[in-house]
Amino acid sequence: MNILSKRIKIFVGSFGSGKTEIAINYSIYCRKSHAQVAIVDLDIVNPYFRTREAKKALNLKGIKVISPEGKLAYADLPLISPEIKGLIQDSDYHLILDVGGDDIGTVVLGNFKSFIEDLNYEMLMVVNSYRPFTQDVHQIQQMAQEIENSSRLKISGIVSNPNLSRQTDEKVIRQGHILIKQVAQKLNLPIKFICIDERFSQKIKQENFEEPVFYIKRFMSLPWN
Amino acid sequence: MGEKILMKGNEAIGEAAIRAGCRFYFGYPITPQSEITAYMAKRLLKMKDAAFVQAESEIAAINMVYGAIATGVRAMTSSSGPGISLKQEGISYIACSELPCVIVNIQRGGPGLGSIQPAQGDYFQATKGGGHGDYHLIVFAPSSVQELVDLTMDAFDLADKYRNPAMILGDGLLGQMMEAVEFKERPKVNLPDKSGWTLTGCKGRKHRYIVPFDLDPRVLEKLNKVLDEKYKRIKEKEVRYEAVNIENADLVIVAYGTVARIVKTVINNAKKEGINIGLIRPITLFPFPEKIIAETASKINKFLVVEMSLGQMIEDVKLAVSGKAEVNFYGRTGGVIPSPVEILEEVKKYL
Repeated sequence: MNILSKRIKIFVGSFGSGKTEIAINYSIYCRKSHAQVAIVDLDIVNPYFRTREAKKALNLKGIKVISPEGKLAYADLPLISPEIKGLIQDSDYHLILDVGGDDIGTVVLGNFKSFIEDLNYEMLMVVNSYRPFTQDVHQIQQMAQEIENSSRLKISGIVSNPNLSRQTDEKVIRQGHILIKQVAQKLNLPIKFICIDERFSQKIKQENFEEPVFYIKRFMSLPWN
Repeated sequence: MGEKILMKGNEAIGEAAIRAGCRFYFGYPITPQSEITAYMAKRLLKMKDAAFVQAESEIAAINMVYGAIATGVRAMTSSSGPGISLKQEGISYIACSELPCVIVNIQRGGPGLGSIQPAQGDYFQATKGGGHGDYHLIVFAPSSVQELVDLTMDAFDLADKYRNPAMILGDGLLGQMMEAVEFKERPKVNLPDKSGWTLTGCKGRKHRYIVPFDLDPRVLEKLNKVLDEKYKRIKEKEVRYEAVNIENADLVIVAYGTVARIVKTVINNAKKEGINIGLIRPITLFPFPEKIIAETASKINKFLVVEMSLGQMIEDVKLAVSGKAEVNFYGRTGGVIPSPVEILEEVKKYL
């Protein structure tokens, strides 16, 4: 599987579509073939379950994490580190941007537009068709439009992430993916990969899909698990 | 319907309210419940005969609810600790006026502005009145996203049934976490007709009014007694709880909401070590499930109350136990969530 193409990878998508888990997993995957990898927590809308919670684990794997530091890590403030602009321009770094949800969360990208647009980047929209407001082709198309409008950047591909969290089963993945494929076709965008929880890695194999399968390990955990 | 959908707790509350027929939402954003406000804006603004208002303050929001429900419609407001404190005057007025509505409190660390992490420090406020005067809310304590859905719908029904404000008392974790939920077809419930008291324009009938006072102390005392009778009926009929493994337990934990969910993991972990823990999880905090606790206290002599506070519900547990068993306490506060490991360590201290 080769899902690595551009130096800067921006994950956008609707609120709760799975961007953070995917961005974290993707940065780990990326680190396997690149020495310098950084992930930026650009979530200005979520108060919990953010990339910063996996900071220790990511640092141990040699991945740089840019997120609000110290006490500010617990805040719900739209804090943007000045370091981000430097990393965007540093061609030695493979950079993953984990952006907040919906058009509102994507607004922050407008800040970097002039830096990013001429660079080697791709912007991937994560879609989970089991989330409110992205449950049919029309809704997902609308979401894509809103995100492009507020980020002022173009979406270059779709990440298919059909799931019901712990209640996911094979049928859920299959049916959701069919819908997401229809959307991709309508939007004339490629599906870059499909995300599947690693607990299905023995059951659901690559040969079931045309698109690359990317197995996801969950980092955002709940206190009773 | 019946299809599964992946929702954040806060979104699920919003959708449940809409499906329960709530078309009027008034609120002011505050973390960790802002997604309720955002969801209601997204949905209600597209609906007919509906209104969404982001009010100028929490005080304004609760008074907009007061006005809306006086006409007989279903309305809701939501907030977190600091905002709920601001709403207390209005809540007391609504209780005095015997009007039905739903108020959601997704608790965060306190006191004061506190933190934005989950907590359960608003138990006293929710269950003992909260505002001034002798009154109670019907208080539900959900423990999963599905329960946020089901209990929000029930809260609207019970509020109508008793003409009393009802509260959903969640916490930031429940509001922010995502789980698959189902909006099931609900059996039709018979609710009292509202036409005898609603303010809908007095054309063709005598005018009526709704006020939260009476100048004559004897009349006001009478109203208080009417309210008290109502609370007694609620205590008699509406208690809900879940009991897990309480027969022959070495120790029974009493916990609600997020903490109860953690305790279920503790029960399983303890079993592997040969320790038998039971759980009583109040689903309604008012009315409080005192009977089951009293009955259990006559059989099991050790209780542990676990809360994300420094000890609030424990007072109700102690009243129910009434000295028949030992009642211990473990709490984390300020937004810290107790882990299954530390709760089990605490249990071992008392065995």
